[in-house]
Amino acid sequence: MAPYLSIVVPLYDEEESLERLYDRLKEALEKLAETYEIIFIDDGSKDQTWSIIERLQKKDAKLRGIKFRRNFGQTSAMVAGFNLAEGRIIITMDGDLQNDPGDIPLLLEKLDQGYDIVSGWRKYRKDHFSRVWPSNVANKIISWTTGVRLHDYGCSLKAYRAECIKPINAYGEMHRFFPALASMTGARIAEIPVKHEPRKFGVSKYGFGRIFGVFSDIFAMNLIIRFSDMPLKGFTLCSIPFFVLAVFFGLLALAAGIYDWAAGKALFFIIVAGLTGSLAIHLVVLGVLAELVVETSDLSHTTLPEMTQKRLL
Amino acid sequence: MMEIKSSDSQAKVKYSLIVLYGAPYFDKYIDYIQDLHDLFEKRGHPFEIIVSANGGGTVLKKRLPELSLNAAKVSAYEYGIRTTQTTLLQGALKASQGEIVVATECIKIITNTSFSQLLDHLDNGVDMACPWRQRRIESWLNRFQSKLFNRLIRWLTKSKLNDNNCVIKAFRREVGEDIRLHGSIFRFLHVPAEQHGFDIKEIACEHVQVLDKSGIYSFTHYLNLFTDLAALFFNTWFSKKPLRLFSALGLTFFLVGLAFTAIVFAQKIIWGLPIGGRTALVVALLLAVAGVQIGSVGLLGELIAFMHGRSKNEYTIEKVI
Repeated sequence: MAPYLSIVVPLYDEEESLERLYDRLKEALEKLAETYEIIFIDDGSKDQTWSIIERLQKKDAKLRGIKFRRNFGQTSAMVAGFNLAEGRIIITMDGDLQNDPGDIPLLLEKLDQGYDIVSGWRKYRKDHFSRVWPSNVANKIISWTTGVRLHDYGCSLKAYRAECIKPINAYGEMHRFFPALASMTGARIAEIPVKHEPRKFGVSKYGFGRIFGVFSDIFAMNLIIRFSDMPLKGFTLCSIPFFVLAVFFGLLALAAGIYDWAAGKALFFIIVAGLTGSLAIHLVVLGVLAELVVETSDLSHTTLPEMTQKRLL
Repeated sequence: MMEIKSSDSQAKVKYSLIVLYGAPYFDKYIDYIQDLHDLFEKRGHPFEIIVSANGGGTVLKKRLPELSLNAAKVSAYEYGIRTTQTTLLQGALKASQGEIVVATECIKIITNTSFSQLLDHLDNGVDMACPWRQRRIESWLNRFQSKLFNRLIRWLTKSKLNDNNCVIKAFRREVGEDIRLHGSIFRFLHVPAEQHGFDIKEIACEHVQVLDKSGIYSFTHYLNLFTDLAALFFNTWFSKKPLRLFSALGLTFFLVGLAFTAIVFAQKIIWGLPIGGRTALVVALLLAVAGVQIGSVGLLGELIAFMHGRSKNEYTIEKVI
């Protein structure tokens, strides 16, 4: 019989923390009345992480393990976990003991209040300032651009109803955006404060180099969430400022020609009008192509919200 | 695709040798198939030979029976139109059964001893064995450009291999099944295989002088090389996150355009130079417009990756327990 809960934990070189994490997870999960499974994903660790998973699995039938051929990143590990998970509720968390498994009942309690996704918020974060401030800025930008307002997108401790997260095609480094992506299914999203522990073992796998990538992903998310069901609208909106500029400079060129005003500048005005005008057309044409992309995709926006549809009467 | 002769179905085929037979080599190198057949026969394991030909079925039909091949182990396919080596491989791979696949052009480029060494490594559990041609018997120009090309590939794809352009590919079946074969990926099969985390080993091989090979490549060769490299670079790093590439490029263009504009305006303010007829301003505008265009193409790319990349997992799983 399929379990009610699936705990998905990506791991990369976590040999020092893994057994302690497993013990704490078991302790927290055994207290629950619900059936559960734990899925550890070894994301290409170079240490003994996989052999520890194998050893633990031999004595615990509720534990499942996935071993990647190499390190593919947290997003891929989570997606692989989602694909294997059989539970109706999927909970994700870090494998470095920074999340407390004791918070799982709080997440479930919040889900029971009618939410589809509950995201953890490390309100009292115990990381270095150099990690906290870019994260805060990114959280504000993601919230603002996607319309899904959360304080802490980066917290891995999250609970999802399986039907809201499984259809999402996450890629790149987009695990941070799972709640925003899941909002495409019409999911109701809540956030609760959770405990945060400083990293006890190993080293952080994050660095400044990722910041540009994160901001690029934010723009991509914005496009996907807001306009992937009507991309022509998005591209046309982008083209409007250039169209206005084209008209403005076109009129200036016309005035310069008719009234002999600003002699010698007419050619310049025509060039600017031509460039901005062609840019506006370029964007609209891209929008039309984008419509074709959406039309030929099997990811339909009419079917996504249907996944969270509930009969009321 | 037309089947010339189908092989008997065999229980457990260990090796599938796929010979990619291109139009320029018809007739001339067909004896190499005999050579390879004998080599596999000596290994004593069940094998099959699949000739995947780019046209020229008439020649194959006439010449293949003239060789002393074990007919039950040989099959040949011909395509009605001229196609890529990747397509030839794809078709043959579907028809093959072996747990180890060796694909090669119908030209002898390494010695039989070296060829056997590749198979030995695969027998010992390596996922892919790639030849590294030692002391290449070629003109200095070819050796030089090959070195340059290999360095470029290593830099662009972070490949660890020294010889990235050899047309012999020996791999376990799951490598061919995991990687989406398209375009000109055949030559660079090891790059996505490395990306997928397969165990790849480069084996030092003895190079054999290729008969009647011209020392100078055509313009088309270099054009293909350039497009192959560009496609390989993009597919390796950005196929799932195209906006990262396009936004970086677009931003660069836009910022250079902005810098030009700033210079023109600074000259106007400081020295009172007129703005209207300045070429620099037109260049600035062109760069800014190009920047926006490139960036917007990235947005479309991202949408394509999201809407159509769902079936393509980014990860490969070694084991599930």
